[in-house]
Amino acid sequence: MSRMHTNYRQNMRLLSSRSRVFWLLVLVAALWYLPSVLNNRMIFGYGLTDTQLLGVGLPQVNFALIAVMAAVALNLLVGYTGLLSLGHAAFFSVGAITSAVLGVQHDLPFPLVILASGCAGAVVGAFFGLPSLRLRGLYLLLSTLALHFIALYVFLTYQTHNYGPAGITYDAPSIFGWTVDNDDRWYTLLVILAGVVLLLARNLLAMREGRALVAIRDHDVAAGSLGIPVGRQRIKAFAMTSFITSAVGALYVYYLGNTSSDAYSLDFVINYFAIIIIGGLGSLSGSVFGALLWTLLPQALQTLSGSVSPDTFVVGNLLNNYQGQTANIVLGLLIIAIMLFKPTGLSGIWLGIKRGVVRWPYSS
Amino acid sequence: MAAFFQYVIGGLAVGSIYGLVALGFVLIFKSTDVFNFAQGDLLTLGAYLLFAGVANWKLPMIPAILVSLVIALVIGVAMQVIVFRPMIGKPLLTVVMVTIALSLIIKALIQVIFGTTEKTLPHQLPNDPVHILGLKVSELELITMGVTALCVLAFALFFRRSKLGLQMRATAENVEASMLSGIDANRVFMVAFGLGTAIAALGGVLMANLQTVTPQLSALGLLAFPAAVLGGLTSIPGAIVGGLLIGVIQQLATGYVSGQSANVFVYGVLLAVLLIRPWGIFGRPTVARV
Amino acid sequence: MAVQLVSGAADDVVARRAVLSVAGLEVAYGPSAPALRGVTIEVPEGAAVALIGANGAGKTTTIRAISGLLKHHSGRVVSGSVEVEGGDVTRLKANQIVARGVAQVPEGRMVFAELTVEENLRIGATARKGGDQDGDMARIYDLFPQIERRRGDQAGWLSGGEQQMVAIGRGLMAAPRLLLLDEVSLGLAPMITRTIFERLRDVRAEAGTSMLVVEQNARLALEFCDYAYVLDSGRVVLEGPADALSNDPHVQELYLGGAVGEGERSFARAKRYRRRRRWLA
Repeated sequence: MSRMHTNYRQNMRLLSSRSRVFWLLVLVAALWYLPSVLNNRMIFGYGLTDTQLLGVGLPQVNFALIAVMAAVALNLLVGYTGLLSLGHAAFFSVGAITSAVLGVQHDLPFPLVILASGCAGAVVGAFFGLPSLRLRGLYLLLSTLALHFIALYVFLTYQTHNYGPAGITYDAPSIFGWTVDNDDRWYTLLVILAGVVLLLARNLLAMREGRALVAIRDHDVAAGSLGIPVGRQRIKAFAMTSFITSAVGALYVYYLGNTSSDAYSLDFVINYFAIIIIGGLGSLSGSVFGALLWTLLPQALQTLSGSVSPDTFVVGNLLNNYQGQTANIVLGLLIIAIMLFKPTGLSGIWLGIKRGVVRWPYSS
Repeated sequence: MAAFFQYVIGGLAVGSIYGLVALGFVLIFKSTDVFNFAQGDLLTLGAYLLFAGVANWKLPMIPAILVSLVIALVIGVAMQVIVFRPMIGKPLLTVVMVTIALSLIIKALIQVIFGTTEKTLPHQLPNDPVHILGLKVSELELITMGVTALCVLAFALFFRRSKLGLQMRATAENVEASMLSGIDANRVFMVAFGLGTAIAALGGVLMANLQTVTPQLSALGLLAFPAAVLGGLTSIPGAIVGGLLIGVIQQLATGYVSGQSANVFVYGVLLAVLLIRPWGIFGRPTVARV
Repeated sequence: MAVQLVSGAADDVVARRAVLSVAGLEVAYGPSAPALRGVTIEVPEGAAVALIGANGAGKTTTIRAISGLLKHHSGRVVSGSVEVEGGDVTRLKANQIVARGVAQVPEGRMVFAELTVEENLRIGATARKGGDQDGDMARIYDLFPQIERRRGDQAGWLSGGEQQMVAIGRGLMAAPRLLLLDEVSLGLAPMITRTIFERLRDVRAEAGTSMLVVEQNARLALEFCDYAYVLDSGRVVLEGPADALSNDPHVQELYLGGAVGEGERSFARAKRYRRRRRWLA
């Protein structure tokens, strides 16, 4: 593992050791190779069956990448800054509306639409953050619940006014002439953007800003007494994370091609909370693990259901007819198990494994 | 003008149900410090249990109601023993997450067991219109409000007079001191969860008579939170009052503006209360040591 | 560090049967924070035993181990035993220990502020089966007439001294064989404290209740009790009959503010003294 850091400079460096550079290159190579593995169902010349790949194709990976970015944003808000906010769906919807207004109605260029969605999200986010100046914990949670419903109403009104119940449709976007109209191209775009978001998040956390956020989470009065402008930082946290979330929301609707108000339900928010809890609150790698698990599990269950006949007692019915619900049950049980036994989530388990391997045979 | 009173009556009826769910929530919160995010789903659970009793097991209405309540009580106790007892002492966020997980599981289980299509009770509680003071009220609405009033009375007596009620009040205030007084805190928690679940299920039972049974009932059950906050998160009478207010606001908004906007008004009120007087109508501002 | 036995009068106290017997108790909080390192304490029947020591010495932890509240505070018994009338209680839940006859008057009183005085007393009898609860309540009102006047008021409105009486009354309602008194004098005016201890003396005389008195006010504890243990950093460092301990120079130095008749002392001197003691032991 990496050397111990002895000053902030070292702490902030992304590639702090040679092994890190190596693993990063491996990751980049794997990401480069992934589309061809998934599309051709072959890896290094060996064929792979659908079941072995758990039925995962490029579309699932693209969804997972979107989920990763949104999960990182939520984790920054809830896990690192400790602000319990149920506004996640609302910010997605802000991205959808902004894209509809600017992208569909006014046909502005795609990069601009995404940027504008982010900015709109930041403004709405700052608004959501205002109650956090006065409220904590449960009460903050409830105030964001209220704002969620209000934002949803705005979206619904816009949708019924301009589009009707079928929802809003988005054409395939194009960036400087390069039209993103198939999964391979989306993959390229999303991988790059996800990398950027992760990089930004990691850098934020390695700087004063990030440490200030964690300080606020752990003890806001003490943080304030140290000179951290708590209220301002809270609003900033809301604004920053909702910038990302709304931008991702815009990407999401363009990828799907269509959206409607019932997509932005409270269940949506709860799903993302589940993602960051299972992955590990306050951990970037946790957001990645959780997002991957959450998006790929239903697909895996669906593929598994292919090998299990519907007549198998209980399990057969569950897998074949109620994949969504089964996924939810599994994930709900996973959350409870994690909260009981390993509150640090999947990333905590991962870190434990890494430590065990590095320290072997001295691992406790 | 008549329309106004119509909405108010309808609001009081459906608000009684919200009040019941909120009552269960406050009961659990006050006694065990658990913020039960799944409380709304317990309403749905009660509705589906009644449906099962009446449609699947072919029971008459009253026995079906009783069976539903008993099953809900058992489920509540089971939740406390299996999930929440190991969680005692853990931080707030952890417990909230667990209740969120339970909400996920309950919702999913209901859909798996009962399917996702709308269900209507094959026969219901009496629902004929009754005319009082020139206003049309349905028997069902009267029954709903009456049942709620009875519940409140029963609870008030239980807490003030019975030994167990005294123990619950003591435990709600100070767990350590109650343990030192010889109270079995775990038993108190079990009772709190059992009763809290059963009461929410009662709300569901009444709701199943008022409208169709679908998984979307959880969205209505969610209104228990603004109701509880409005009343004061630790006040039992406040929960009922909050529920009634929320019900009336909802019905007035639906009647005068639109069905979709009702949520905005209700949650707008919640937001206002949180920002201006977070301890609600009957609560007391808490002073915390920093 | 060896335990020093200070001999003196009242050795016969020790010879009686033990209501409480703590042997070699080791307690830790969390994964690895030791709080008690082998504490051995006995409370003979009908006796009043004092447990004195500075902050953080482990007095409250000892009390918690006896009344079963360790788990509630994330503590656990690493080794040793706690026996009440011969039966081990380390595995019992707090309310079961109350049923065994051990009642605690907790530090800070912890009355139920929203319940009335009468309800507070009644709650104290929760673990009891049968017996004359109304009679006991009447006796407690006789003992503490101040609170009888306020029996219908919510306990949170009472003064500190009155709340302490309610807390003691609540403990007595459990008809305990052993009463644990944790820092009864805390935050109370000397007059009230004196009154309370006089009443406790009456309780001892009437009911023969054994008492374990944890006090930072060592003088008070040594006046009231027959026997005393001095705790320091999780260990018993001195024990003996109370009057002997009062005259012991170490106790006087560290807990009684110096020997009678001496001039003013500085805190630094006391600290140095303590360090020297530990080094020599």
